[in-house]
Amino acid sequence: MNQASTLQARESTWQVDRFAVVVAMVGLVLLAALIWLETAPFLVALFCVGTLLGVALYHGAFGFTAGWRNLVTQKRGAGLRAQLLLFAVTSVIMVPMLHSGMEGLVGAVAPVGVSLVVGAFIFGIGMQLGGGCGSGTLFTVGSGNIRMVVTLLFFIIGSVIGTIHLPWWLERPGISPVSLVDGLSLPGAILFQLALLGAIGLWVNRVERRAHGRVEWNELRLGGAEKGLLKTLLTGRWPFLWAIAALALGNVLTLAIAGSPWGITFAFGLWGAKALQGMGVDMSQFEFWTWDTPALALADSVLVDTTSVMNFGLLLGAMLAAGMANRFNEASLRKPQGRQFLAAIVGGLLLGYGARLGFGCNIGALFSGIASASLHGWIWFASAFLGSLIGIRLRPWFRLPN
Amino acid sequence: MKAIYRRSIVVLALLVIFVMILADHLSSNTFAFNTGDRSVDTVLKQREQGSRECSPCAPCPQ
Repeated sequence: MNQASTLQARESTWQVDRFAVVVAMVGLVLLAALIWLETAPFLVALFCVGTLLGVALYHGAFGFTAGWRNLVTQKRGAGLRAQLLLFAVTSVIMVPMLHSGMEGLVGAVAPVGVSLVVGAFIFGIGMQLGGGCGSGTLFTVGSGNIRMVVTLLFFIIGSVIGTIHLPWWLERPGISPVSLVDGLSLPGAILFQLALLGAIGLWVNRVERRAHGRVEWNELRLGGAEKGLLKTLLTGRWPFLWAIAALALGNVLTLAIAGSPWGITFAFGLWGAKALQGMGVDMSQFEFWTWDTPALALADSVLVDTTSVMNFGLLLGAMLAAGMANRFNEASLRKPQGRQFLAAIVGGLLLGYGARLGFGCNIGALFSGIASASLHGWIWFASAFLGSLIGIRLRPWFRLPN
Repeated sequence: MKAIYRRSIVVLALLVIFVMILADHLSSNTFAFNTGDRSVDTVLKQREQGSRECSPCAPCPQ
């Protein structure tokens, strides 16, 4: 059976990769039980939220990287507009939550300076070479993409190197974290952010209209009925609006349960540092790992680290979704060639190093930063987009299609 | 459809990750706390004290 007829058969009948689904379910149950028995119920809840996010990212094919690239190379803005809509919806909910006086909530608000700009710029290059951002790397690894496993490994290595260099970068010029709410009041900050998102949306529309004559509002399509609601929900592909709703809900739930918004990449540095420590390296010689939070995270279990627990859920959620769609490991059908592997290595290193210097990835710094009305989220956005332009230009040399 | 991957590799990869998580947990402060050593500092204990001011992605330099 050739590939075209295989795909046709897949569309007409509801086939499930039972092995992938069963393995993902067993993994979910085992880890949830371990977290429940050894830690606290709120971490089980976060594990479930991570799983939901993994399913949503896979079924919604919600890639930040491809969305940015499509605007630059195809002049199509649906992906980026979907991201803007996601930021708008989430900030309308989360900014008031963070400033409601509820105890124990802390936003993703980080310093603004050289470290942030350089980190986000490097991350932007890495996104295009590595083939994904923080969330994109995780959900594609969960769905069995071998090339992205290479990206993730070097993402982790880059993160550890970033933690070692971060204190030096923080001594470069910069200012303390800036919350827009402090300068503009709560309603002012929300309105300012909505206006800014709207202005970017208009620019995206202009780019698309100039290239194609009209704007395709794919992100507003509510469809899915052609396959039936239940089948689309379980096997994808979800309309962007479903993914936006699920991702916004996921970040709001994360804030409510964990006390801080969704983040991904702190865990990567932690996993790498734990691996080095396991090999006998004394991590306390590096300043970052003597700071309170990182030092305690290093000494404690990954099962009490909220980012790690959510990442585990995300990986298994994506595996479950790929199995339901009968597409587990499908992306590995096209074997990556030499330079594509090199791109995964270089991209992964840049992603990891950039994420640490930039206080997170497209999730922790961009999505959660803007949802916390933090100035650093906006500067991260601009810097990473510029880096992404460089990355897109470099892709052909690495034999990566644009 | 015929599987395009080797099931044994998938199971092996997940088992390795699970064993690593388990090994990390068994040598952690939380496990020590759970097995009776109440003097160790744990993430959950610190969380109960509610002294956190920074998000995980931007840990405070202190």
